[in-house]
Amino acid sequence: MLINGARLQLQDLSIVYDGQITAVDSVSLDVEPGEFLTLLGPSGSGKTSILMTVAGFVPAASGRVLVDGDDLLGRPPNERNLGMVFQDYALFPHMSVAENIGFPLKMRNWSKADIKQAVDGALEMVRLTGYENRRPTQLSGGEQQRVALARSTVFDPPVLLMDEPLGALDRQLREHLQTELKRVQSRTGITTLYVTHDQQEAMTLSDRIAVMRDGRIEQIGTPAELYDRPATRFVASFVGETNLFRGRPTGSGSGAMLETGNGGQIPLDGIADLPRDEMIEISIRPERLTIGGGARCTVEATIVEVGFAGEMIRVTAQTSSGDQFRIKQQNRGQAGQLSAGTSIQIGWNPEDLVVLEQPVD
Amino acid sequence: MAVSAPQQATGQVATRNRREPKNVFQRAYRQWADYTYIMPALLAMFFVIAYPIAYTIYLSFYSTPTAGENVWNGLTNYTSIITAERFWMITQNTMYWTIVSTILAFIIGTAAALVAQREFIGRGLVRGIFLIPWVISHVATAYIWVWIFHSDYGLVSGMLMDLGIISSPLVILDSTTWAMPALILVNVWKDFPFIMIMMLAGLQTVPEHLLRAAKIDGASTWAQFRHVTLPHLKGVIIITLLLTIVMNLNHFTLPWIMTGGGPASSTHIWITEVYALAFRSLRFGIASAFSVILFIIMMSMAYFYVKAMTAGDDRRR
Ligand SMILES: Nc1ncnc2c1ncn2[C@@H]1O[C@H](COP(=O)(O)OP(=O)(O)OP(=O)(O)O)[C@@H](O)[C@H]1O
Ligand SMILES: [Mg+2]
Repeated sequence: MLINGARLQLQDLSIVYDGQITAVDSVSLDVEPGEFLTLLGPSGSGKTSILMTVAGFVPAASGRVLVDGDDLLGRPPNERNLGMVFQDYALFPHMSVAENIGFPLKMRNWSKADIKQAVDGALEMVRLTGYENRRPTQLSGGEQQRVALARSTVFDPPVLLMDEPLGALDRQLREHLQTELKRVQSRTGITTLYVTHDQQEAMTLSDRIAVMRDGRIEQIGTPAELYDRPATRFVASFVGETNLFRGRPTGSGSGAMLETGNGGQIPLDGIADLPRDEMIEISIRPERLTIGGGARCTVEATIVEVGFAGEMIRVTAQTSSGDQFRIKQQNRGQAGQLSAGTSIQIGWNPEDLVVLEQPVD
Repeated sequence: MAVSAPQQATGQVATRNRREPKNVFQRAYRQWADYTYIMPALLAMFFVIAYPIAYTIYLSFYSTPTAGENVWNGLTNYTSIITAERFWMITQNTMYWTIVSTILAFIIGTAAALVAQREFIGRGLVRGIFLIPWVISHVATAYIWVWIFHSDYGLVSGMLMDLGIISSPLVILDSTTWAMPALILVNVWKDFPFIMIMMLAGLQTVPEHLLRAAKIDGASTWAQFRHVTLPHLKGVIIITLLLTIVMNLNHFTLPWIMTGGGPASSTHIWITEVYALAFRSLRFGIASAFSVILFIIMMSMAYFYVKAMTAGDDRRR
């Protein structure tokens, strides 16, 4: 049951509620055939609205939604041939598992025999063979969501929409289902538009992530691109943890520094094309920082706090000018040497430092 | 909340360890306080319901001549009722009245609920108008419709004559053919708002996300109704139907005022017949036996009603 997913395109899509609340502001997005693309963003950033408009439950104020070049807007949801998984599963309580999964096929007037065959295949795919006669109420949350996944993919839709499908599950189950989801998605090759506000989940599952903020896409890229080269302060701090510093660049070449005020200086060695005499903001991930000498860029700091988190050690350190660094290190038994008040040298490689767009004023 | 967790745990253990008494009375005794609370209500019900029922059952085994003592005559009252052709004719009337009224009111009430549920300008007004028949008293309704149906100066007859559709006054309530359909029409008019309200309440509980799921799965509006809404309303539908059936089986006011069971008993139903037997013919023994028969029929309906009402509880347990 290998499907070739379709290309899903959003072109200048705007969504306005009640004629005044602009939930989505001229968003354009290309989801490649077979791609798993996630809309990631904080609450209220317009993720659900986009999904609802693609599905046909919320009208678009302007713009287009194309599936393989075909404009979907103006068609009712039942004529869009999309798969959708809801956060609350939305299984039909009066139908058995098999009837639930077979429902989209029944609506497409498939024969009983064909439905049975397809349902068996779908059950096998989500590893629920033998559950056909159960009722949704007799399933655990994870099992219910697998049934919902089977129902939304059984008719080989060209595009699958998922709105926080794992949001109602506990963490362990969520991680388990993430792998399951990914497996089903790559096996079917179905183009997937996924919504979550959990950045960890987005990173694990997605081919690409579109980070949303206030109804716009702030940055779009692979998980690694977003993490390693965040374009803005928002992305840098929303996707993973980070250290942010703002200031004026001075000097050049290996002597380049970021003046953070109070005489604070952070080396910017090796970073080219810095805007002169303008406030900039830089980001560096806590786990890219090292403690001790040997790195190309270093600053002197004093440990303020040491946090022990099992396999990780978190260190907060402050320079004499007041710049705070959060450092994350693999726990290799060094916790004993790190204590508040100790002077350390924080180091990093210049390529781990990112200059963010949108200079702050 | 580190404190509450262990407390909860102890609570559970305590409940589990308490021995579960096997005897019904022992179990009931454990809830003596609950029974005390409902005792006044039970007593009141006993005097206004149980006592008359018992007395009716008692009377049903007696011959009750208007003058003189009541005479025990065993099952004679019962046998004479059910062997009489009249009983079966009235039963037929009752079934006709109940079934047709219920089905029509149900269809119209459901349709009205579907209309009243949609969002449109003036929805509140339409809902209000739909409710009018229900808030008018039965007696008033009966007299209004008697007037509407009147052959000489009634609305229906008059209008049809003015329009030239009929040439002579239409006989409705005095016709053995048309009296019952006319009564049913009034009954449906009176009852459909009740069904509308029940169904409207039910419709509001249909989860939006299920309808959406069905829609995205390709279900048309009709298919959504058929596969999501209707199954969801099953409980409400059963209870509404049972209530309406019982209401119709017991319905006295409309037929009694509008036709008094006539013409030629063509609109007599069980309950009007019992009334006529008791208070027109003063045959209390026979009327009591008739009542007992009806009581048994109604109780069996009540059994299904309670079963339908508690079906949800069982599922939840
Ligand atoms: N039906 C509605 N009517 C009016 N405003 C709405 C409606 N639905 C959403 N909004 C508004 O549109 C904006 C985007 O909402 P949306 O539900 O798309 O956010 P989201 O990114 O899915 O958030 P969450 O992570 O909380 O689910 C919010 O400001 C919200 O208040
Ligand atoms: Mg949402």
